Amino acid sequence: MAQMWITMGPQHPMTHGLWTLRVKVDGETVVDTEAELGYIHRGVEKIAEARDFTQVTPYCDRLCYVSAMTWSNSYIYAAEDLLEVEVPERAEYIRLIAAELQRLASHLMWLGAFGPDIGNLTLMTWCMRDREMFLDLLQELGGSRMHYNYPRIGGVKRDLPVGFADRARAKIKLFENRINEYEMMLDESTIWLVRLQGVGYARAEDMVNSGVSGPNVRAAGVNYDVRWAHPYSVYDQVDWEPAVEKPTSVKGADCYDRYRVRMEEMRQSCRMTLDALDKIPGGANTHYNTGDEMIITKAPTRAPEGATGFSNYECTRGASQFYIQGGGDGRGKNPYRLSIRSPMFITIPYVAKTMIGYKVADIPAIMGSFDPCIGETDR
Amino acid sequence: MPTHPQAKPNFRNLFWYPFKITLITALRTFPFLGRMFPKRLGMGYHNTSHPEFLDDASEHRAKSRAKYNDISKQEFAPDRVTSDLFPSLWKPQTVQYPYERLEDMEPWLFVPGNYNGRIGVIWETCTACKMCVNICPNDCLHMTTELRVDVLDNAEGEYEGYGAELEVGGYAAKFREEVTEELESFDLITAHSAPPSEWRFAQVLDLSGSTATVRWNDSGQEEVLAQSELRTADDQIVSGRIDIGRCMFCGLCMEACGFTSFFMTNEYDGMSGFTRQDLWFDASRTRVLPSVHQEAVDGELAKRATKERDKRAKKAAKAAKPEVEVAKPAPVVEEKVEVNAEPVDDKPLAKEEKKEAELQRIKERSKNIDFDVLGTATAEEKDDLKTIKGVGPFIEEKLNALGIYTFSQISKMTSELEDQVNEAIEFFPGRVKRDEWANQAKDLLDKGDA
Amino acid sequence: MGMSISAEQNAAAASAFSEEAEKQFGGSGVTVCIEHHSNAAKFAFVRMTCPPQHWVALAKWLRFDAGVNYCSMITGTHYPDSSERSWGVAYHFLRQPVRDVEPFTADVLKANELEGLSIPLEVEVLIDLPEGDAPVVPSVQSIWVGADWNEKETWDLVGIRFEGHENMHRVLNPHDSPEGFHPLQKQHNIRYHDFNEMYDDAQGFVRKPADEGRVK
Repeated sequence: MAQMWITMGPQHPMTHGLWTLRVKVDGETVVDTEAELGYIHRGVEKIAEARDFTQVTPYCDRLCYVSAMTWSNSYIYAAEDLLEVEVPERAEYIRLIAAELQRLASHLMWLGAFGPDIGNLTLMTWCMRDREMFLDLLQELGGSRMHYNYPRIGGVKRDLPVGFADRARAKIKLFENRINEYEMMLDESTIWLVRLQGVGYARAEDMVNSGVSGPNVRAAGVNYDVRWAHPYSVYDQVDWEPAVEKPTSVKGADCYDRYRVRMEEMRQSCRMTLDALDKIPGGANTHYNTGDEMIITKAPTRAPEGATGFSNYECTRGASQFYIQGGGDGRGKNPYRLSIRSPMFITIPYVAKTMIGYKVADIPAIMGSFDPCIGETDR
Repeated sequence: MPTHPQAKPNFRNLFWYPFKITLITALRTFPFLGRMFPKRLGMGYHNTSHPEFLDDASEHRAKSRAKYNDISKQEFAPDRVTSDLFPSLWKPQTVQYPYERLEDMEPWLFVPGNYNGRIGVIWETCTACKMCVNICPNDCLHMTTELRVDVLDNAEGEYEGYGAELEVGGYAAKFREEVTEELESFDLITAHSAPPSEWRFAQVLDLSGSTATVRWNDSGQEEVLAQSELRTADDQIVSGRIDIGRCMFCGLCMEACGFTSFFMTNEYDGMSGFTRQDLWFDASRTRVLPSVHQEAVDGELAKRATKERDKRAKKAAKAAKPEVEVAKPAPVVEEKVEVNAEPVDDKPLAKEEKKEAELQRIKERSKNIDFDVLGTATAEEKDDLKTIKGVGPFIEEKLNALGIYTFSQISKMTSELEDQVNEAIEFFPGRVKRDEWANQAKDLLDKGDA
Repeated sequence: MGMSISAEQNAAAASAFSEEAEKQFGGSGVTVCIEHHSNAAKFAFVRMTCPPQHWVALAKWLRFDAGVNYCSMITGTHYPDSSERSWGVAYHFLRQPVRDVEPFTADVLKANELEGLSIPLEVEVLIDLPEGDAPVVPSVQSIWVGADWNEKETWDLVGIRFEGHENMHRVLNPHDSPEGFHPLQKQHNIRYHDFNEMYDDAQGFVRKPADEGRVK
């Protein structure tokens, strides 16, 4: 039969974002793929050259809009490296809590989009409902449900609101039972198991060589996580373990393993948040005023030419890095070059190659299981 | 491909699960069953109560709005068909926004106070410092300012001295005599050009005695003039415009202002329009509810009034000395001022110390208040003065320092006493009268008795 | 308690690495030094500078002998005003202790037990390119697969050519962008189009007559 290229065009309900995946099919089997990105290239790196360090933070939220808190945290760590600022410990705890709540919300968004890909439309409603709980918590912290602009160079914008700790604990307790419900529904579902197991194998060393990181690699049996390997914030003081799954084949991890890793990560995020709320210095029920030295230290606003800042951060989808060179416009008020490393930018071509050999119906399963977010891919 | 063990037809997938789900759904439609077996019938999070994250305030708020919001609690809805027998069956699950709001129907939801919502600006306290304009990443804020002579700065008579004074590094203006004739015959309605400017602006370089050295803005020349010929001028905001269409609600402008004039209210409505020009918000569309931000505004204005009072005190002390001493160098004059004037410390004090000093001053003024009319009270008898609108925690402390603890004392204030108390607690002039503290206190007393 | 690599492990890894690198490449124009971050745990990382002609050899050594298996970021920068260099490429790598595992087993690494080449390490390689409008760097696409798309992005946005890179194409800019258009070069300035300077009507549908037919 003749082979033909099919375009899963930029607008497609299952590609989880705006990118084109061109697949060459021979009957039902995928023979070759090509990924085209750049549809939502907004030029954040160029815009950042015309903005102050504080003004860049809202742009970094919008890189991966589903996981905004982790991205602005990641940028802020790089800016703190550049400007050499110390962060108070309470601020680090708050950043940890915010990042883990964001990780929960992001994984729920992933699951809520992944389920319908496989055919389980109920998951979309359940996950969105539960994600609302965490979006409300993040709304209390950051002032809006999606783009918070919350961390600041030297700390955070404002302290945990009054009553936040009680609400967070109640919601997490509720949610931990919900994860059990999800697993009950999915792991006993024939369709789910048949569609995910045995599909989309990826080996650990291949992935690392290709630049894939994060839960995708942890699904292949190695518990490498930037949070302990290149430590930042107070992850060594809260109770947690990186979630890791045993791969089911010599060929590596399949989609089912990647799904299980993220369920485990949700559990670990719950555990981390509860522990951080217990251990936060100053107590989770105290509310310090904005600008108090417990939550932010005054930071210089200019960086000289030749100074650089680098941050290595575990975003929801992998390891993200920011590299800032100082000495830009305004006598150093702006960055000279802001370079953003997005894990998904490298993963998507890798995913495109992983699909070769499987059926067309496996494309959404494989693509969804790697959790693409095109916002961070195209910047 | 080998078949999956769970892919073969089995009783659980084909009969038991569908039966269970249908039964649960059928039973859920009866609210009394749903309330009796919430966990088993899967009622959770929406349309039920969650005592673990429901607090008194939310519960009170939900109950008080229930009859407006929850359709099933309304007896008659003229615009929809309702069934009397099973209102729950016919009740739409949709939240009929904008008539109902989700945060009113689900009591544990709330839009937090720090939500980055519609922008609100208190134009009265805006000093046109342009910090917000500079920090906006998207260039949303446009502000036009102009050098102007403020009428208040140069009033004479009973309002004299309320405005700012000439200061080195500030601006000054001299009246241009040559335009008076033209201005008298100028008709704003039919004229085709702007009226001639009646002020000539300059930057103040130095002040000494009764003369000032200024540099004119138009020519750049320096000149020494008498201070009496000059009026104070300042950069004042003429118009401001916030482009909500471009705004990304990041909240940086709110932080840059130092929280005194620029807010993001927690309103998420009222920002729609048909054209992009509709989204250019000017002063009228950025109104903040005075009741919400009143204490912040009053605090800010009281701070500025205090600063002005201190400056006036210094000026009065300087004027009270004989002419000879004025010629002496500055440090000596400063010293003398400290001795003669009110105990005002020029050094920057810590917030706590400032507060303590203020309360101390107020305590001393209590001898000026006529307690025969008000009646005396002690701290043990004190009422919660914060219930009065316009009284916050700090104002309450100041009233207590003055010796006013109870509602009955406040209700007995005469018009003259209101002014005295207003001045004693260093509050914005006229505020006690405007907010009718005496009447409010009378009402509260009546309510308490009844 | 969460585990984490300790400062001693990190320092040991950095010094071992830099010693090895000095031994291999010292004196050939490659400089190696240990820098410290000022953020987070203030860990050490290795910064190397390399002249373009030695880059492929260094890259091969990094990948196959030093175990640096993760190419994470390639940053190209244009320095039109600088006297020392005109273009710069910064490569960031990580050495990750990730190996394939047997099916149904997991390699649960314990941070405090890692040693030697298994300790995660950040490596930065800076290549400065001389004056000129056509900067060229040898490609390392065959050495790390992850460098592939990073190099495409660097060429697309900054204009640095990678010699030996197969199938170079535009990745973030549109495919039909003009030849020689690389937005992150410093001669391109960001312009802010106020909408009433762009459009003739209030709704924003009709372009101004002078801009008829323009896209941007």
